[in-house]
Amino acid sequence: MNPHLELLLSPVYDGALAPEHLADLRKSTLTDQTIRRQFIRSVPPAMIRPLLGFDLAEIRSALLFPFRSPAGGFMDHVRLKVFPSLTDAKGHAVKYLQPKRSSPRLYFVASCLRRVLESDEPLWICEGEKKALAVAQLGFPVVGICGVTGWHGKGHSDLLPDFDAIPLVDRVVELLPDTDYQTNPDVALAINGLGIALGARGAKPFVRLLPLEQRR
Amino acid sequence: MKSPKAGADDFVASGHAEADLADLPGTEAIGAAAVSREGDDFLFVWPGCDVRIEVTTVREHGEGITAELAVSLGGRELHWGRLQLASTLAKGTLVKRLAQQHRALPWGTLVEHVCREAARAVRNGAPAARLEARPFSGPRFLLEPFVWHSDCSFIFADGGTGKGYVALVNCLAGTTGRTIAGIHPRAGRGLRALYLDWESSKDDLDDRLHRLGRGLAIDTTELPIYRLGMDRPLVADLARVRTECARITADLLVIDSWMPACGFGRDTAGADTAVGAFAAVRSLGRPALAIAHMSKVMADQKGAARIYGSVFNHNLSRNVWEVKRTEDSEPGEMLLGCYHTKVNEVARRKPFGLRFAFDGEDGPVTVSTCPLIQGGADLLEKLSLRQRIRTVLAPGALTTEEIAEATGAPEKTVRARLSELHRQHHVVTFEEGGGRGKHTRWGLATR
Repeated sequence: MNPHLELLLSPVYDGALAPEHLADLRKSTLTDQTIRRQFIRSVPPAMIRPLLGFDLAEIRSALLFPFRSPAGGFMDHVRLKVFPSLTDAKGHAVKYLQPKRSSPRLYFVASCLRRVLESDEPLWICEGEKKALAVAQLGFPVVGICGVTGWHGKGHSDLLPDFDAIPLVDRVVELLPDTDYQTNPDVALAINGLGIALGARGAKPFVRLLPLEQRR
Repeated sequence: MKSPKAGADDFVASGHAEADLADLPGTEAIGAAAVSREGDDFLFVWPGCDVRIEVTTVREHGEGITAELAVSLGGRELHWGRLQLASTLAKGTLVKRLAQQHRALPWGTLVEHVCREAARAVRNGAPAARLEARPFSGPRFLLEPFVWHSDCSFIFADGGTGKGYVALVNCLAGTTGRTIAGIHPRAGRGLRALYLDWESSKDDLDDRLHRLGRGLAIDTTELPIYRLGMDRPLVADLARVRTECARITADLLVIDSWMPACGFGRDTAGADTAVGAFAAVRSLGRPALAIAHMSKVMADQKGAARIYGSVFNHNLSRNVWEVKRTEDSEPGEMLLGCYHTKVNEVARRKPFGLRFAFDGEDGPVTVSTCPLIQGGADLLEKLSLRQRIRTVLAPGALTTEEIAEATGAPEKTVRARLSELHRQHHVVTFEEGGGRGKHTRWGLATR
């Protein structure tokens, strides 16, 4: 594991959250308990480069989302929510970054990990870490994908190996995409692609539609 | 300006609870493909992402199954090509090409699913069934006497004999459910016919059908008789034929004619192509009436002839009729002799005549049965002497000399056959006159 990540996950950084970061988590309804169990914490600016393998001058601060491993402990993988948001070459907002050349991973939530891995309850899949945590707080077994195409690796469209740990045969899977699923055909295609890949594993995927009229 | 998107955390943040999330409206399951099949053509559709994969022209070779795959997304074709369904390399290449065009979809999963399911469906035959020792149920003939209830029946004749007309009359009898010119539909319902045409044109067949319809007082405008123009051997075009069979739900196939349907193979006797064509017809699962030819030698000889080409043409057929046209007919008339040369499960039907009458070159065409004797010696010479004697006696009693003249056989031979028939109670004698003027006349026994 990256030693900088190991250090960040140590008790030394327990509760280390910048006010701006805490406000962001609160906006997503995340509780202290959730934040603590997921080891979400602010990253000292000097550690951003070692974690990502690159540095961007525009980044003022970053919030760490470590990834729990279904086998226990943590993956050698992180995502950082960067402040302020960046803009890519196509003009899209970039809020999260992950280490250079790393593949997407599934975001497992500590509070419902056993139910995800061991039960046949309907499994919920959300687009993003904070959304997965918000749904888990309501009591649903959930995992997060990092972006609409975050369920498959680069250069192929098979399910991530992380899905292998989840029993899928005959299991109802509720996909809960953002509202742009209903307005952006590319997003719909990506989510439906996930449905097809899950269906091929024997799951029974459905898409749940969030109301379009809600505002942030 | 795009409206900002919202996610699950926003939903929760706006005050919704667990029950609200559980009650969110959902779409139908999006993982499974809707699959439809027409013959050996398959269509896989994933409605949720508007992906369609068509699998057509499926062929099984020694090295596995190949098929043409047409992949489209949102109505736009992304790829069309031939693929070996079991080849990991070929599938990988296709998936890579598709992923280059649209990365968001699980192309590997889709292509693998399509290839596996199509191969499975093509190879799935009926399992072995235990014999049950029970009487045959249902009619043995689809159209008696020309079309057996299954596999391939034949009409064969020399060229220009009117075989196509006979086949079309069979189609008319089948589709109307009416007995026409001694052809009895036995299915108990109107049939749907597919005419596989290697020989003529749609215009020709339209014209024949129109003229026969007028002659037989049948409204042919809505009859389910379809023509499929063919230019490749049946085996090579089997997928297309299978698809059309399924599309029009054909009950009867007409193959016009057998030699081009077989094509040319490595075996000069045509055994490989004939056996292949029989297998192709069998795989279509519908009774077929094939029109075939005979060699010039066969056409010129008296007695029973054989279908041109491989011996398997005769051996693998279920029901075979030889047709001969007499030269001895009136202008505007075509007199045909029909001779049953093979059937396996029932007794061969008696030979009979068909009379087509043409009202000019465009007028109605009528068809009816007629006694073979109306066709004169031409139509009788195909019969055995016993059959010829019975045929010439059908209109009324004759003397031995008259029978010999009518059958073209020596009087001594005729007398011997008449004695046989008499002993077997097939003919009876009448004495006429007396003394030196006494004549023996022979007539058919009535039973």
